[in-house]
Amino acid sequence: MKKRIILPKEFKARYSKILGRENKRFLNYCMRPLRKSIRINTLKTDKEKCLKLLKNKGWKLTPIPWCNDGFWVDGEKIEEKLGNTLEYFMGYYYIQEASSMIPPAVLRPTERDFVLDIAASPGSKTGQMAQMMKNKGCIIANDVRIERLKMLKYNLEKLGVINTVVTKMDGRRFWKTNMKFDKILVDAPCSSEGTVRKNWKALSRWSPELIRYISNVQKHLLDSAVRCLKSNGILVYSTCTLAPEENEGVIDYVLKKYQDLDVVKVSLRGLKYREGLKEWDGREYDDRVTKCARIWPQDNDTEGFFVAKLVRK
Amino acid sequence: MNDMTIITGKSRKEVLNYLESRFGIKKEVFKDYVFVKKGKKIWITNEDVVSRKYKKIPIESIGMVLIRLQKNGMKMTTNAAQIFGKYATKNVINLSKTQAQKILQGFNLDNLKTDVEDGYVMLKYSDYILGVGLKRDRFLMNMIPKSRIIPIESL
Repeated sequence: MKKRIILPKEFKARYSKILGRENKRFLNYCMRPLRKSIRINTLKTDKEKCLKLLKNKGWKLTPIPWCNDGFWVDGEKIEEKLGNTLEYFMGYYYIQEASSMIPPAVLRPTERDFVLDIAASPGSKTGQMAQMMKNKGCIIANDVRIERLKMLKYNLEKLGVINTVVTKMDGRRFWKTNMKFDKILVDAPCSSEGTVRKNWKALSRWSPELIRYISNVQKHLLDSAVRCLKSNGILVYSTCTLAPEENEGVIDYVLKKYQDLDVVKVSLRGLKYREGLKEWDGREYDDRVTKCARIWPQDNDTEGFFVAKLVRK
Repeated sequence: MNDMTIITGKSRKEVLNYLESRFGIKKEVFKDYVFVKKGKKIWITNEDVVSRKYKKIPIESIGMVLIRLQKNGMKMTTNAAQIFGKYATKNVINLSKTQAQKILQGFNLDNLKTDVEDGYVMLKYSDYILGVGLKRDRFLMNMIPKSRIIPIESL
């Protein structure tokens, strides 16, 4: 039975303030099922060989412009088939939402980097980074809860990742380790507004109070990560939500606290996005937040997403 | 590095000898990798990972589990077999389509017709190394973890 997505009234009203007449289009996209996508895992297979195998199944694969190994997949009953193939069993591809491929593409870790993924589970982005690093260098993949760590370890091993150390810490206290990294990914826990197309229950617990609470957690998490960043190091902050308090508000917080931190404009091939908001709910943010990327579902037919790229001077 | 130790010298040789004697995987295959032992598991990772200092972090895992140390000796994991199994030159069972399908669904196999030695064997279907099984006479115990099996209806 098809579940009906219910969008809270307050949710609709707050995005009307940002989008105006376009809000209807945004809300319509929120109700649409999400287009399926995969990332070919070149740690275990050759991309062209895998594509050939999948095309032989009658699947239509369309490249995702911002991720070399990402593809949208269309085909009959594709949802049930995706997780039930020999190639899936082998870990030749990983089911990953197209927008979730953005943060590693912005961070661009290399084979020489020491990388921190501070809230890593379930490991989609860690796996993507390991692939970009050709299993070289080193990634610390951290998370805090046992069940999330289990999933993280399971996915990384299935993907054939070997350049990763999985650690169990509250990311908000990670700075106490005194470790310094070349690149850091903060894919923060969030109110998950952007995932409503994938999970019809995503907004069942949504409320402005939840957003306020989570934004506080996010500030502490990002603060901790910033302290772990080397000079000239790059940090990418991302969420799968569109709430300004969890996005521009969090970036504004660290920009005010750390004078040696700057924002770099996000630029990815084929990705349509809009500037970060300078003001929300009577609060004015640092001008530099406009360099952040707001990814609305209607712009690329993806989940809603937010990405900021920070550099330590 | 918490309670993990890097395996060098004789201990490393022991692991390499097992992989070569059991599956014919040449030692050179692992020349760029580091082995780490924690409890009853041997993990495989790279040099960069072990060269770092992890004084104040609780480590859950490092790299990928290569081998589980069991009562009856070493057992290569499914995940490791899927990567390094392609270098195996012996104790490899070539499965038919029906047999491979059963393995993916989590079933054991019986009435095997093969002259491969008893013990751990590499399970191959077409170009794919599916994992490791335990052979006893004509019976093959499926060692693919339950979390990995899929209800696949056709290959």
